[in-house]
Amino acid sequence: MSKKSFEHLCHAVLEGTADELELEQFRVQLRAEAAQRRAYADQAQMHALLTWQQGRAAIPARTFLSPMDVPPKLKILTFRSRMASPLLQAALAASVALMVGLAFWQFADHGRKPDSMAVPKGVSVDIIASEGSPYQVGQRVVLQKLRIDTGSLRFRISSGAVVDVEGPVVLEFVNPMRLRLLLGNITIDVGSEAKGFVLDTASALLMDIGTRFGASVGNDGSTDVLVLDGEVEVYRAGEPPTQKSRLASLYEGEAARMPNREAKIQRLQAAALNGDRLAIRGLNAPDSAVITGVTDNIKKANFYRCYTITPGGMGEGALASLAHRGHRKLCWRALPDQVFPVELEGADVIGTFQRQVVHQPLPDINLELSHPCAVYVLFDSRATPPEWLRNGFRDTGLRLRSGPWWPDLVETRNLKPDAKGELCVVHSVWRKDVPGAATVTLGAPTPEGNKYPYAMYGIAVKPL
Amino acid sequence: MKEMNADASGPTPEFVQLLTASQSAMYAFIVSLLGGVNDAHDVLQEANMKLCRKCSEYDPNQPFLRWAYAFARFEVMACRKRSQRSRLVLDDALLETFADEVEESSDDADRRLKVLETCMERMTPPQRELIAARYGRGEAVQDIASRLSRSENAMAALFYRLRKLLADCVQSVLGNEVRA
Repeated sequence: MSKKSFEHLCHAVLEGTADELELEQFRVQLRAEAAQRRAYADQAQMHALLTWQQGRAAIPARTFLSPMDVPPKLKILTFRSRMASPLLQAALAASVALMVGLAFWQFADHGRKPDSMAVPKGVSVDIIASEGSPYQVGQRVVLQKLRIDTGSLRFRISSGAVVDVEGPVVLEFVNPMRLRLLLGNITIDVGSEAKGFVLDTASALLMDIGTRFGASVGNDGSTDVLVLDGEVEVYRAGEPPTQKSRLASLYEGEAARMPNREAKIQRLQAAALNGDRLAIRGLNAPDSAVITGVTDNIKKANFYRCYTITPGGMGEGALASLAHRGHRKLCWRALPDQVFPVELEGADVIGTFQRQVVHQPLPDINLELSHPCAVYVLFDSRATPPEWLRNGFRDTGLRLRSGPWWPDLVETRNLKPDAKGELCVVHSVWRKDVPGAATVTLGAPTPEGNKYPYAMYGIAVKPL
Repeated sequence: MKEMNADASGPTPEFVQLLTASQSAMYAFIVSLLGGVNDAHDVLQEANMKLCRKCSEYDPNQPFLRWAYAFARFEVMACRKRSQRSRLVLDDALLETFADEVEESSDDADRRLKVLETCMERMTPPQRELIAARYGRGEAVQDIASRLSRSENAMAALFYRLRKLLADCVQSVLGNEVRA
């Protein structure tokens, strides 16, 4: 049997797709050669560790949830990044999980109590990533409340939702499908397993219809929400989520603010992202060192489209817009066979939205800038540059691409696929130097009333 | 020994710490004996419970993981008996041989998850994206293949190579640690 055959069999076994004949062939191989057994051991171990590391090896929550009260002193797991004894903290957390699990198995009829009798006192989570916290990747802990002053944590809840938090944050775990954010930032990816996931805050109830959103609660209790993918329904806090209490349905690229539970929901015009993790930076982090605000002059009811700011994020693959098709978001790329322009590397990227979500008239965009900087406009090279661009900016001669686009749009009607079969738009890079704090207004890509069947321009800002 | 590992309320924090640190290694051991992740969660839980109940019998002078593996192995056998009609990847004799070999080489198994992180960082972005798609987002290999316009066989071979790449990297890093 060739090496390739063993690879195929091994993969089929681990994926659970091997039929009886293949299984027997596989066993023959293993019996015959110690080298194949070692190869299989390596494959199985990596398969398991990757499954575990990525949080997809969750134990059913019932085995960790106890109907008994957890001792009060263990109910809140609080840590600071410089706390002296992370091992002890981890041990305490694990103690809670395992002791209540043991107690449950010993005294609670192995989890077969009716649901109505169970009183969940914590939520089982798997730690997937940890920076500056005493939790370790691969740990499984039961949490009721989490408080982080600094650092960040990514964990998977037993419901399947994957959560990113960044200190300072205070979070309560109501059940595997419901969290309460008291302060700070959270990004939740519910995937396909936890649709209907609820996040409560003091001023809003957010229900994730799928699949990824960020929320931030400020010191004043206000709540920002940004939908990164899929749909989120926003309800008034303190009321059951019904048609009557629903304030808005937000889709990817849309953001809103609830100042308090009685206030009207407001459009959030700009939200900052941690580009490497596609996570919200939130109310407690500065958007960028240079950009203090991005606003436009769109006045429409029920319009929630948001500009994203990714500090220092410009480079190959930088997010150009939250618009996407399937798993592929619209990104900035170098021209084929060229390197990404060094001049633009590390600039703050402002993600814009496309013409079709605005209709006419196209907006003016105001950039509030706090320091000397270069402002770049990445303009669709197929279109005629408008007067404000020609007069106020200079063409650097640099070129970038946005993509991959999809074919059924006005913007891509006459585009030809590249060598990889993808549709990309070439943008010319225009630059304006701003000597100090200022407001820079970028006009519409075409004068009012004109047709504009091209891509919306992108924006980047780099400190001088 | 008993006083060190258990009191009237159950396992001591020290014992729980050892058990917690061994979870990913035990899971990997169980998956390799079962031939996949199906049932691995339940088997691990059963093994955890047995270990907690028998915690007073643990000798702290002995490697914890080897002691824990014995319980995991027993629970795998019990699981196989419970599900006799379902697919068994290894027969009993093969399982014994294989488990002995894995246990022999398991001294640093509980470090592997941490080292795996380091090795993931050394992968190229497209490689990491494939791992994220399969193991992070839980996409089926055939769906990934379809999305990337590749054949399923080619994608299976690619995942085999990625796992081998990671296994070699982990082995190399652990080997360097031992030498250092």
